[in-house]
Amino acid sequence: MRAYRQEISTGQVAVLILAASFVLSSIRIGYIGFRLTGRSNWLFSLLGGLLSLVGLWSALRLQRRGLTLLDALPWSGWRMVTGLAAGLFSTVLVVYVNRHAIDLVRVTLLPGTSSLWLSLINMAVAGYAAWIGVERAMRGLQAAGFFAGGLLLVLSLLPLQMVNAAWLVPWFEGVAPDSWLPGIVEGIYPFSTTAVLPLLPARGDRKSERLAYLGLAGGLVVVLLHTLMGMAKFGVETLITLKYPFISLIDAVRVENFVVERLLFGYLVLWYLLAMIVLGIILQAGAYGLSRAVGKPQTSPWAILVMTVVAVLALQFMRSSTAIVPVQMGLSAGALLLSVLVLPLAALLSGRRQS
Amino acid sequence: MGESENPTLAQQEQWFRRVLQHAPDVQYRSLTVGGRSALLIAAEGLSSPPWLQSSVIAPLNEVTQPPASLKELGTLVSIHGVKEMYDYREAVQELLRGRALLLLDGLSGLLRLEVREFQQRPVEQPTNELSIRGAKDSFVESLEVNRALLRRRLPTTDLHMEPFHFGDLSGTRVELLYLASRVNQQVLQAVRQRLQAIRTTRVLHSAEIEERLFGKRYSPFPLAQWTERPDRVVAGITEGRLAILIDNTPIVLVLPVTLSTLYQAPDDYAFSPPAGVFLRLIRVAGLTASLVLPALYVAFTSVNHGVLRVQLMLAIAASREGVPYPAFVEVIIMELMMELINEATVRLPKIIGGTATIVGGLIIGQAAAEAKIISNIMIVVTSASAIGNYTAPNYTVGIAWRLCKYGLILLAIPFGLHGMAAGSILLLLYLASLESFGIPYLSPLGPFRWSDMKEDSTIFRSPWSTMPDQQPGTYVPPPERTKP
Repeated sequence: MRAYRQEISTGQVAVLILAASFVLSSIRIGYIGFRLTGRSNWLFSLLGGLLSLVGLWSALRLQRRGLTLLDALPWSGWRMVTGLAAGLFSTVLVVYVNRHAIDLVRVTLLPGTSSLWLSLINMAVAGYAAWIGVERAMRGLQAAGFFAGGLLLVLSLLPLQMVNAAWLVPWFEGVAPDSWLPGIVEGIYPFSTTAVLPLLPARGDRKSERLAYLGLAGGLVVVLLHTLMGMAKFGVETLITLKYPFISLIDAVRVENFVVERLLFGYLVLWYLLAMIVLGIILQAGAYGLSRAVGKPQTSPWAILVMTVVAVLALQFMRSSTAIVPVQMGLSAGALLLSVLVLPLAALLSGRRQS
Repeated sequence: MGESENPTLAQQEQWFRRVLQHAPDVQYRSLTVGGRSALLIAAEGLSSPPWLQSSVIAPLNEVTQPPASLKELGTLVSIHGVKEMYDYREAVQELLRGRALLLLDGLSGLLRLEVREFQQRPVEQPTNELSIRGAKDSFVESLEVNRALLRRRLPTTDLHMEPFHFGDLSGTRVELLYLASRVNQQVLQAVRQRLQAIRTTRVLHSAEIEERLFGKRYSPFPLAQWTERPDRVVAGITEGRLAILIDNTPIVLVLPVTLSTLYQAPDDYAFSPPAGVFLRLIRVAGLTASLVLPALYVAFTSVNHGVLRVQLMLAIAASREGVPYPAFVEVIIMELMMELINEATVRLPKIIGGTATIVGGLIIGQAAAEAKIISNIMIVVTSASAIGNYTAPNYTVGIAWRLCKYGLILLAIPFGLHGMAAGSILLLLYLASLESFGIPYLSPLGPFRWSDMKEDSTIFRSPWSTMPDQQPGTYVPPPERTKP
């Protein structure tokens, strides 16, 4: 196996943020966010997006200098700790998304199939995406987006015919002070991938950075659309009882006299297509962190293999649904910590070191 | 026979006869030039006897004074391609490639005369890449004729031709053609290096050069475009790509290549832009049908019964009534039958090929359905899949998709739509990982470059008046990507 380093462009960073926001937002668990923040949930999603903007800004500053997060950290001990933490964060994120992917596939497409089989298939696909390199995987994601994007947009907007806009009013609801921090933490969840961005080798330049910001803006629109459409169709009280509000929303769409009656199958296949490539890229970012932590200058394919195996094994321990809530909140807290603290600090440090 | 020696004509003839003792096609003719003995050696069937008679033998018979040097001897024959040679082993090689050798008693060395002329096919209509409105000529087996077909379309000094020789046994001539002002230097350098690194004893087929250009690889997807149409090669060259002409093959390689290039046909640009776009979308639909329809049939009938609406599912179930085995067996039988028909029609002579198609169609269609070996709906699926595959303008890429189709069927058997989705992602990622001399195979869709899409007319073909007269960015490799 060979080591490699391929750099992605700022446009590809934008596509990754948009796709990852869509993937994570589609499997956002209804009873976590809406229980915490009620009908003000959309506001916390907005806040989450704005906080991840800090992370994106820092990541782009690093990439503009041709650095990754681990290059920017001054002390080798820090690099090791951050590399291991990044590896862990990515593994948990991969396990989390894979867990939901299996959940959805078992409910809709393959009832009764062993979750280990599905996990192995998913991780084989994601592992291959990581193995071919992040830039090549991004090419696949862009091509998939080109062909599937339009269809996905149409499918995502179809529930609009069923919503009742009046149910969005009142727009705000008082949130208990002790729910503020958990609400913010939950709000950043769909943008968690932004936290691993600075681990991906990218060639950024000031001129094209607006593309990345556009990608985040697009991701924010997707997340808000999912949240608001869920509220306008089901109402907050029902949303609290639902596991996957947006999947339920798509499932509620019925088309008469067509080849299929439920559009959910098509939607899930397209979601799965994007999700697996995004998983591969997250896996690659984590493997880069691990490789650097053990002193390798570039992503080692062995690190990808180790992470893939660990992810399959970890999933077997995370099959109970009670584990989902702490894992999601843990992921979001990690993303928040990285976005608003570690990344800006690294960006500042890299600026000082260069000057 | 070394350079320093000055052997007599008899000794030289003896040497040639010994070296070529097992070559009965080599003919020797003794002449007298100004009273001195001379010897003309030529290979039968490779050089032109009337030409030799009128341009060499007749003028030499009229000479009264013996020439003092090879240079002077060369002026006495009415042939342009005359070269003095002193290496006799190299002269033998030239002789076997169709040139004649002229030796004169008392002179060391010999003259190589360019009198090659062998039987060859005339320039005819293309057989594999038909065009409704495009040019009707196609390449033949002669490198000179093929080069002339291109030169006629590009009479410019900007067109560079670099010669190469491959094969210790076959001595095949190969030429690398490009427009110096448009070609990307990185790509040119990489192709040149790869060509120089090729070591082989013989080249009989363009695929031998094509595969060797890309090293050891097992991918079914072509990384170079092969064509028999001069207009396609010229279009490629003017886009800044390179062409490789190989002697003795009617196929020219054009590279680098992207998947979208392989899905463009000459007629896309011969009709109006909307028609061009329509034809391309039809090809994309054909590709989709050929790749996923059989696997979808397996997924819907074996695993994901609840996806289709009830009425449609009932219709499929009714059609399958009486078929004694699972849907995937039905699909595999039908697909294999289609492959048999495909192979038979390609290999058989045209007259019998037509019969094979009709017999195959009858057996696979009506008879098999009536015998309950297959369902009627399976005939529709297989036919749509096969016809979809034929829409691919490049035969090699069509075969690649056919192979991928079987992969998707195998994944759909146990895992249905989920397996198909996983297989599709693997295929997409695999295609994304391919590069042709540094050019991403999915370019300009992945990496996505809008400006290149417009310049290259990847999907939305621009009108001629707005098409930029420059090299599309698609064929410019991004930095740090130069390996094949």
